[in-house]
Amino acid sequence: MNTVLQVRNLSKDFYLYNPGRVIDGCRDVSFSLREKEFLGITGASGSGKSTILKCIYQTYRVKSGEIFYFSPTAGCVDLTKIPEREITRIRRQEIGYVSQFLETLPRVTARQIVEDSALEAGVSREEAQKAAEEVLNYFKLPLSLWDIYPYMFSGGEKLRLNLAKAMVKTPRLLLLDEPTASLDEDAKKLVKELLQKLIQKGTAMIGIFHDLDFMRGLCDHVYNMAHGGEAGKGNL
Amino acid sequence: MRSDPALSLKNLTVCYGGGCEACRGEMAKGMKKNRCPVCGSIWALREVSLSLFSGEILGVVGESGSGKSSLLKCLYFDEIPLGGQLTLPDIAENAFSLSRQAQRRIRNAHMGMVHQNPMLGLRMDYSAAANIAENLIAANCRNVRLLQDRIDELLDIVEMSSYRRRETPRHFSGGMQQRVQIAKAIANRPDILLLDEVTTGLDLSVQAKILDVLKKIIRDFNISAVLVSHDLAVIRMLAHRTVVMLDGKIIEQGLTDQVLEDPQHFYTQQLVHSLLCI
Ligand SMILES: Nc1ncnc2c1ncn2[C@@H]1O[C@H](COP(=O)(O)OP(=O)(O)OP(=O)(O)O)[C@@H](O)[C@H]1O
Ligand SMILES: Nc1ncnc2c1ncn2[C@@H]1O[C@H](COP(=O)(O)OP(=O)(O)OP(=O)(O)O)[C@@H](O)[C@H]1O
Ligand SMILES: [Mg+2]
Ligand SMILES: [Mg+2]
Ligand SMILES: [Zn+2]
Repeated sequence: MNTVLQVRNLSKDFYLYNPGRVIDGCRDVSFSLREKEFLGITGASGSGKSTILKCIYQTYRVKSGEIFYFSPTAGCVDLTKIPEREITRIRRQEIGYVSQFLETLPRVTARQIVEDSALEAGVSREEAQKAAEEVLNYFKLPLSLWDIYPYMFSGGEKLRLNLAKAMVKTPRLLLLDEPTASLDEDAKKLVKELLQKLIQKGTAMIGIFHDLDFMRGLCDHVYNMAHGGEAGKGNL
Repeated sequence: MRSDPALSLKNLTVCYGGGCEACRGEMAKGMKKNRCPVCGSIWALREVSLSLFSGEILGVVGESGSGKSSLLKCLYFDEIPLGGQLTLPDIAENAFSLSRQAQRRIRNAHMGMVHQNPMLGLRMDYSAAANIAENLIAANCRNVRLLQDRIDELLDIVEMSSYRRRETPRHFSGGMQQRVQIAKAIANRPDILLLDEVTTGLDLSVQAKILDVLKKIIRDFNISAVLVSHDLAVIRMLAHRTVVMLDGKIIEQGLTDQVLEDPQHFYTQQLVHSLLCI
């Protein structure tokens, strides 16, 4: 299986001018990930789990270390060093990120959000429409909500839309930061099954889930923040 | 989004007041604020460089007086810079060195602008329709029938009700004036759209409507845009990349989420935090 991501000695801190203090984000993190693999990250609140995902996604600029990503189109690149333009392209086409928060434009319908996300990956408008409908159906988002604006959705509906938006395409790498935080068991089951389907198609994933039950059967490896390394295969 | 620049700007410098020997030398670069302590000239932009890529929305943020509007005015050839180079690939190697007439031609063919002050962007004594006709005619649309259809089409895009199209913008609400400005700005099907505080001072539902219209236009017509706004929520929703200005200089730039979530500069941190704590 081909390597998708190799993180080497990643460190991130934040200098806050007010009150003039350095905050540790994460320190000296290394791991690697291959196609079809799922890496779970565990650790206490504030230990830097989200920080790692945001460094990979380049929302945070790293302090030191390398993040090698093996792009099917661009070959092996260090995400910390390539131009912003290239990051934007990779985000649209290759690396997905889902958190528990949905950010959307006002007056863009749920259907449009998912369709746009599919379009970004480069499919035709018809294909995007079809894919959007499929995934909205899959997550059992009521038909009556498809053509309205999501700011009025409930928390769970927003989460499902968020997942639909990321999973309407088949990313090469998917970063998941508590995306099921407030979903009921049925919805979680749907998410898990779709994640498994994406894995079958070759997607590599890194996930943070408070719900260890959810992680079970999904994780190939676990990175434990406290031990600074792998706790072993599927061992939670 | 392609990866070729729609424009690239190098070392743009604008000085209001002519400057003196002291500030025209190396001093303007080193001055802490944008005002020359000797002659009082305002160095509104000091060696600003940036690129705008095709299909991209570039956000510009910064406190009042930091030079945002001056930047857009230069890009629209409304302001003559003291120095700098504006490259428009396939159009001009340095558009700043062209004649006023050549600049006007480029503007009419390729650019649209929504001014911070509607008084600058609209003729208050022309009807909404006539305001738009003015830009259509400048862009060489002269057939009366076509002109009429296109005006209606444009005012439809910005959702201006048809019975008000013959009225002058003087009597319009702020949101309506902005929508006429937008229709006017896109009349020539521009490649580059310059937007200066398009939603400022409008109530939230009107803001949402305008943002929605803009987003649609930019997506459907594959336009590149420079979006000046003091509203970080607007920047966050629309801009792919963002530059932060202070006293006429760019002090920080990056992907919009980088600038907003992991700001590096003291001033950017202050800006982001002050807005998060409201
Ligand atoms: N944008 C930021 N600016 C400043 N400090 C930050 C920022 N993001 C994270 N931190 C700090 O970095 C540390 C790690 O935070 P992070 O969000 O990665 O933790 P986490 O492991 O995801 O925690 P949780 O389980 O609570 O989500 C914390 O001390 C946090 O305050
Ligand atoms: N025509 C002018 N003559 C003299 N000074 C000017 C002129 N236009 C702008 N300035 C000055 O240049 C500086 C930059 O102004 P500019 O309008 O570009 O700021 P801005 O960032 O758009 O501010 P705002 O957020 O308030 O719109 C300010 O100090 C302003 O007072
Ligand atoms: Mg977290
Ligand atoms: Mg201004
Ligand atoms: Zn001077």
